[in-house]
Amino acid sequence: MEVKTVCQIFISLVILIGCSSTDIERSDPAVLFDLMKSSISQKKVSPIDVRKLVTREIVEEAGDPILFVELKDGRNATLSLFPGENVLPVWLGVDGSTVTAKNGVLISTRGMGDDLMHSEYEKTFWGLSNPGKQYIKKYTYLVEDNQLVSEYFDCSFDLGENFSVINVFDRDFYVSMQVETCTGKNTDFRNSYWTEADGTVRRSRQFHSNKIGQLLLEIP
Amino acid sequence: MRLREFKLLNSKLLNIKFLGILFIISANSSSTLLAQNFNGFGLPGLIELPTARHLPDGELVFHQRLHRSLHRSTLAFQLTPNITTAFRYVGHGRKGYEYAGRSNWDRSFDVQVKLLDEQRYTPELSFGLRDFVGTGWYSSEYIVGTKKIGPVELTAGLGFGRLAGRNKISNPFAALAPKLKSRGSRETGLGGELEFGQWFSGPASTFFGAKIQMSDKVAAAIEYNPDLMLGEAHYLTVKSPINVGVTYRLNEGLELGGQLLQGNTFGLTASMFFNPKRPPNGNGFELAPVPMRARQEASNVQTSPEIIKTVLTSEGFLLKAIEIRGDTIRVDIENQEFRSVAQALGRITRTLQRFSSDDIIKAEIVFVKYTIPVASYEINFNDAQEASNGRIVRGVFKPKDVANTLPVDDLGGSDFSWVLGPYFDYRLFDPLRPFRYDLGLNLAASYRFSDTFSLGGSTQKSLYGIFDENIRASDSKLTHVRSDFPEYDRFGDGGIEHLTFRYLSKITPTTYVRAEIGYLETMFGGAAVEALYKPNASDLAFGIDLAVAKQRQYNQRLGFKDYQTTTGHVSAYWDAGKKFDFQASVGRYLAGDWGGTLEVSRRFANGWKVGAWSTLTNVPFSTFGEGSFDKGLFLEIPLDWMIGSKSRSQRGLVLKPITRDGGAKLMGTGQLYSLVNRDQNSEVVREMGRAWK
Repeated sequence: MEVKTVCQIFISLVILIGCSSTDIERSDPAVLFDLMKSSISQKKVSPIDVRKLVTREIVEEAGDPILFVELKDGRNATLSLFPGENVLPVWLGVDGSTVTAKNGVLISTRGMGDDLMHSEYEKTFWGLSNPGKQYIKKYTYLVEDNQLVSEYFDCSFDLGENFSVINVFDRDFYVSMQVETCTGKNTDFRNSYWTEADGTVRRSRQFHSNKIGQLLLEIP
Repeated sequence: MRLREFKLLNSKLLNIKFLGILFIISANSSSTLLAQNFNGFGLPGLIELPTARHLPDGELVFHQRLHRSLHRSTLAFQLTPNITTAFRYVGHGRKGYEYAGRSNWDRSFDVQVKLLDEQRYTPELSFGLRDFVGTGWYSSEYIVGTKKIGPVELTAGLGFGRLAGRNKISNPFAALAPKLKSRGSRETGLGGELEFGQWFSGPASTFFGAKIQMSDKVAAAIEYNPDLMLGEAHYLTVKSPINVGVTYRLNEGLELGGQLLQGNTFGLTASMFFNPKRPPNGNGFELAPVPMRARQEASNVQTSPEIIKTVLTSEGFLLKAIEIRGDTIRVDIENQEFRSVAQALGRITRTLQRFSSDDIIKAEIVFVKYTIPVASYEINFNDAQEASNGRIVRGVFKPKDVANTLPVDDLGGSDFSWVLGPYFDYRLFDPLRPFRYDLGLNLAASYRFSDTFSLGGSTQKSLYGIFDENIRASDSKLTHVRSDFPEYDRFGDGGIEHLTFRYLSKITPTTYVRAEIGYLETMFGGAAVEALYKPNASDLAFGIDLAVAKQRQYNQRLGFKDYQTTTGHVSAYWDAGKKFDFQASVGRYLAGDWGGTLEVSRRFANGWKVGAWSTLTNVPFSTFGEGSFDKGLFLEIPLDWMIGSKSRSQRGLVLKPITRDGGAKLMGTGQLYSLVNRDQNSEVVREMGRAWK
């Protein structure tokens, strides 16, 4: 077969891949193309630090509440409150992922891959009000064969509070810092909460999962 | 031929992609197989000998062993936590007349069963049957124990058959069963039969070996192999019973090895391994779903069909119709992107709950395929809200059966549709060319006359391949209903794959009907009818099919050959919960033979399916020919598992040791069950955890 013929066949294939009368259903070749494209473009990109882009002025001008979230690898983003009356406060990121958090306490995530399907946030609030007392907190995950599996942790908040001033997006907040220690069958972790007098958790480092680790949450 | 083959042959699109993606996955998947090595037979072992070890549940291994007189390819699968199975294709010899200069290409099956786990003072204990179906080239059985002491793993066992070569001892089981004292010569015949009487019979030999884990990646092994290799004596000499080898774990899905065999032969091995329970992209990266609305708040939210349609469309659903009746909102939907019907239900429920008014408290979601409702579910929004917030609520999605779809809204689409794309097809296990391939373009089109009647067909044109090199003539004593496939491959390029006028309907809330007339498949045309009874809430289904089929000309144009037959089956389908599916059918096959087919498959709750089928008919084994009866293995891997984003597609692989004429079904038989089952309640239950993902 001549080289010219091979080229013609190749070009024809590329042009014809995935042709159909409808654009509603993504064809297999289109899926393949997306996969190849994403594989090729998987460059190591330094994460953009949102804290350098979003200033206190921008936060104030926006008016709507936002949530700052940072993963342990340094990737971070600000999320907006999903509009409307939600069952629980859902924060939406520009990448389509969501974080559900009430008064700064993490409840669940979606769109992150290995998501936290649910955690007993009410227990955290109870613990914050009852330092030194033990309670059991449940975290629920979706495991690989699509079953929900719950992990149980024995938790308690340390006695004593450390009052301090923290700076979140160029604004000082007077908070008390409390540490929650949790022990599970396979995993132990410590969550830190910087709480204002009205009970709002202004900053926290909270356990998400073994795969994603801890999240830093801030309410600017 | 099986429905699965029909589906694969009929779609044939981009199986090459499947292989490529598998390779990528094997290079990226995480593994719990550290310190696990494979022997030359693709099972946990030393070099040629087995160990008592087993693979993680569900593990799938592609293994290749090469040396100057051997090509040995194995597909191994951990069927249950205690049972390891393997299918193998081996080319033996040198300077022979078959492919790659081999004198023989042979298929074989193995099974290994774990008896005891390793304890502090006792070894792990297993027994196995090697090459127990087929011509029995490697026919042998063994009992083996393995114990780990520090970095060293010691193995010792007792072998029978080929493994009883050197330093034979009398059969220790003969005291219990005297007939085990001697081992008769194997009646290989046409292969494919189980030789129960030979198992663990005759003299035995001991074998032993050791493996040392030198680092996380490197292991070395030495073994004493009692196999005298008598079958290979005319091209292979055994200088020593000692084999030595080293393996290197390249990454968590690929292992390479080198060996010195029989004291004079260098060998190489490569093993790729995957596990359905280790998705390369975790649980997937679909965008977050729409959150539910707080309904306890006073709100003025009005039901907005337009917003519902917009949101559902953006999620990958085709909303065909919407109806509000009292406190219930019903949607008829075609799920185009979510393989997991549980996840689809969860997303649709959230959308309906959020964008409907407070006086609507229930939803009825009807999944539609083509124009028939294949599954229906009733959902109470309060229950759904509780469940999505982590509460345990049983029966959130209540299965229902409906007979009819709603009147379809104007979707703005055409009744004519077409698709043009590449295909990749293959033929396996011809000794003269074990792997033949074909790459080309496939064009399919259909026109819908009404909700129930349509005309559809497809054709394809080969661009690059070697199907036309196969000039083997069938020696079958039966009517050549399938064994003339090389003729169709050679002369059918550019012909009509299928072209039928089709009637498809749901005649009661639980009964589906299909009727087709025309060119039904590549080798037969005629008229076929099929009915399926499948209540959504039931794990059982029953089907019946009947066809009058006439054999097509090899060129796959309009003409027919003289052979005409009536074929049909009664079938039962059982989704037996989380692990296994069973399908059984009895009836008349294409060659006029009567019999039954049993298919058993291991199902995983993420779309993976690994299974086997066999068909026994009234055709004597001697008349059937090589292989004795129809049988095969299949594997289905969902694309969403591979790529980590939503897709309804799946890739498959069918390993049919030999294509003969006995036990052959018309392609497309049983397609109603495949059409319906993907959206049924059993699938929802299986993947319920994904509903709120």
